[in-house]
Amino acid sequence: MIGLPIGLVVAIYSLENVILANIVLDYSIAVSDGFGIGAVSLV
Amino acid sequence: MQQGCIRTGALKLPAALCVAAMALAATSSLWVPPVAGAFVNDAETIANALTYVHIMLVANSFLIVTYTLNGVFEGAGITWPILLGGLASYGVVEFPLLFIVYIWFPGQPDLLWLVVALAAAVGMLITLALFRLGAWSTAQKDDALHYTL
Repeated sequence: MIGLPIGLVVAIYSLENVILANIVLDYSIAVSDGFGIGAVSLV
Repeated sequence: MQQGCIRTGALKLPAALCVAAMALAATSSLWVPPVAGAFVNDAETIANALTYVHIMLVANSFLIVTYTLNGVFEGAGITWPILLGGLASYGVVEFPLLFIVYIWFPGQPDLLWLVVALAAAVGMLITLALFRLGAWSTAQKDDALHYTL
């Protein structure tokens, strides 16, 4: 079961990515630069 | 493996990476704007990119230490300290603070990155504390053979 803690940690890392991405994308100020990069502008 | 000890040579690469990350952070105002400017023209977006890179390079310095020690744990066949550090830094510190920032300080991405850096620092301190306890080193002598993938 040595891999179980590692698997859970990887799941936590993924959860972090999902949370951060969704928070940033939820901002009404989030814009796309047309290159597939979600640039954040406060304008 | 001696209890609580790792070869000093194994620390040279992560130490060098920490120094490199700090050097990149210290000089980020020189190289980030041209790089970000190659993709976007908006000055405020470039300023946000500079802040992000600056904070994340510092956070990565903490993560380098954490991941190095995680490698020691893995090499010893003990992985629960890695899970404990992850649960504490992400579950107790980062996720609740991200929720607070999202609810009460909307539209401030800089705060998000600061929360990530803070969680990385907490995770590093917890991992260092677990490493210094040394319990993982003695435990593996008896238990490592019983672990299975």
